[in-house]
Amino acid sequence: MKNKGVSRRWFIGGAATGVVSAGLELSGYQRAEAAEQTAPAISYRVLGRTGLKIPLISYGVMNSDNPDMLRRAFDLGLNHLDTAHGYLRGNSERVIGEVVEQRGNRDKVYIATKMYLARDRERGVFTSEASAREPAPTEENLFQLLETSLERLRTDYIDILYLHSCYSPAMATYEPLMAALVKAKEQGKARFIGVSTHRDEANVIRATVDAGVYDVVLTSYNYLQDHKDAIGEAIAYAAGKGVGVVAMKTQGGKRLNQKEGVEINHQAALKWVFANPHVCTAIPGMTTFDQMDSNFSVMADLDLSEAEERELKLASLLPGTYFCQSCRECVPTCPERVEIPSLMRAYMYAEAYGNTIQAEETIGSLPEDRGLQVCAGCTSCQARCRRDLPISDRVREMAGARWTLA
Amino acid sequence: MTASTDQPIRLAAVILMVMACAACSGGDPSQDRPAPSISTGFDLPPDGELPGWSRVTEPEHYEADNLWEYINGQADFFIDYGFVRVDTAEYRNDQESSSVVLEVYRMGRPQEAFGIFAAERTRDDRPLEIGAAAYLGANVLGFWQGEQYVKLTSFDEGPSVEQALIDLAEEVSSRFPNPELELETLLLFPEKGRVEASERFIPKNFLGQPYLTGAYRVDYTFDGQGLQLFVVETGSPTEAQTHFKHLEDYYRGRDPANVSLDDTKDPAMLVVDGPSGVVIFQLEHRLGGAIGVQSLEAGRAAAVALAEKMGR
Repeated sequence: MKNKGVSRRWFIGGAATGVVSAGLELSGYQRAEAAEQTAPAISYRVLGRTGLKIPLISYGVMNSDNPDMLRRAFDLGLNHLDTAHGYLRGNSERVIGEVVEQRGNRDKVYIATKMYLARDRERGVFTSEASAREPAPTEENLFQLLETSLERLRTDYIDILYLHSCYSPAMATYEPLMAALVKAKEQGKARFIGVSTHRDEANVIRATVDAGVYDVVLTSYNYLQDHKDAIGEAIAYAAGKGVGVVAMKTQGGKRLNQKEGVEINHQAALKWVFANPHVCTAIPGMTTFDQMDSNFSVMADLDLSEAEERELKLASLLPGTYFCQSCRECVPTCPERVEIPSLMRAYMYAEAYGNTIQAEETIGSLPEDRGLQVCAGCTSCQARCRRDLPISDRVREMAGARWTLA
Repeated sequence: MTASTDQPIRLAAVILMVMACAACSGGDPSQDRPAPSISTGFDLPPDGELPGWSRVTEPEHYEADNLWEYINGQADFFIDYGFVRVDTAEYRNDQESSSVVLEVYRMGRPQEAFGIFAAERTRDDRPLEIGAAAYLGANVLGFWQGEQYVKLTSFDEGPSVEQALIDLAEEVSSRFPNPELELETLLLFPEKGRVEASERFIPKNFLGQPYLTGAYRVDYTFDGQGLQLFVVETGSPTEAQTHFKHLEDYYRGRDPANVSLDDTKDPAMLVVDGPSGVVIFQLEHRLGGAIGVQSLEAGRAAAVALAEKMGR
């Protein structure tokens, strides 16, 4: 059923006007009231070989401020909570434990938590020794963390026990910890085991699947990632092998909202994730009731409208993050010394503001031996942006765009 | 250093001044956050500068852009609390051979530093008098002071490690200004039934409502039953009244049969019955009340006690 009643925009991307402004968003009151008018329907997917039937929207429980949010989540029918051993020194787990115990619904809720052990962040491998902040990656230490989490959560089993934040395939397949997780599963302290990753995700997912012992992978996945296609393919690979996929960082992070002074369309961002049928569920953090209701209402209409697609596109072009800053450091990396900053500006005119005329004028103003024509004849773009702007993708897109031929 | 058992919280002079100015204007300092324009960090003491401690790693720092690389999924929570920057390095105690990671989180405002400090404090921690307030866990010591939330973590445990953490924390604390600060709003909470070291500051989305910012919350126990009292600072009596009305509308919209407004008393009390009951009132530019109420009678009594103290 289409839910056409939900029209809130957390990110106002004026496709027609080129306006990108947070000032146009609804007030707190309006949002709270709008949320009351919606009655979210729930869509479920099955989490791979675990067989767990989980709503598309799950709850990333980092915040311990308001236990009523958890109660509301349960009222709505949410049944999958995601937290971590280390969040707020265990207070996130404690709040979950208290509320679940009060509600007496442990058998109806799936609790996932994560164990973080010492690693070399630079090299992306587990270290053999403890650091002051993290215990050494041993079976003994993992079980010690697990026992503490069980106590905080007031339960005798975890539904999904993750190895927290694996940076590389080597970390995901680190034998001592894989063996420890398998042992935890055999002992019934964890029903299912998995890996969480937000770096080199595609390779970590594949390694996790190929390890043959994991049931679930939790990966960052959003429309802002340059490597989202590779992650999407890895997710499909995982699904094909029966490994369930949970998505996190679906909004691209707080940084966009707060640093750039705008907010993104949360619903559209979630729909983009769910367009991949192999993603079982997402775990957005939620701190307001209307945010929760808004996220839930996504399940009633998963289709990304053209307007929402455009908003996502605009959000990916936000100033300071995805716009070219004209630092010109990319120019020497191109053997032909193409005027890349101007091309990036033209791209912005066309894609962010829909102003193809200005884009054409910008391209047309460039000398032939420094312009888009050079790129059109190039098959191996070597230009690099220090801020990881996808230069070659954008140039290729422009070279193939009808408006550049005008 | 001495362990604190009867002093709920020691806090800061600068904040008192700020709060006093805000009170004069009827405004709430939490409402007009000055955006941090610079992101300078704490100069972590170099090797040899801290007596008995050697710095064994180069300092690192993280800002909002890359905080997730350092603390993973907690990053968003810290950012909600006004995170600006964290500086960190590892130090080794020359005598104990134990390593300590020192982290200095700079938040936008002192109440946010207190807020993140309090969010990470647990019931099992021992309160200490370092900075404005401190906690000591098995292998970690945290304190807040001004805009800083400082955390020292050792993987080793034991009395000697505890003392080492305390010594280092006091040394670091002495390098910050304003060691004795006080959050004025917390003084409004009654003492009777108050659970020690349970104070919280919640910068946004209090009660799950996007318009409630700058909330203070404290745990209480009466006759074995727990509840929480809260005070929300707003910019003016009109604003507080508007929030009160919207809260009433919100609760009536959600559960009309269990909502009542007792306006026979001053201030009027909005009462929401249920397994986690709520009592709310508005007094001048503040909202106050009780949440997590199991017995409405106890909830009303606690809210009245809070209102009386706020009115004085």
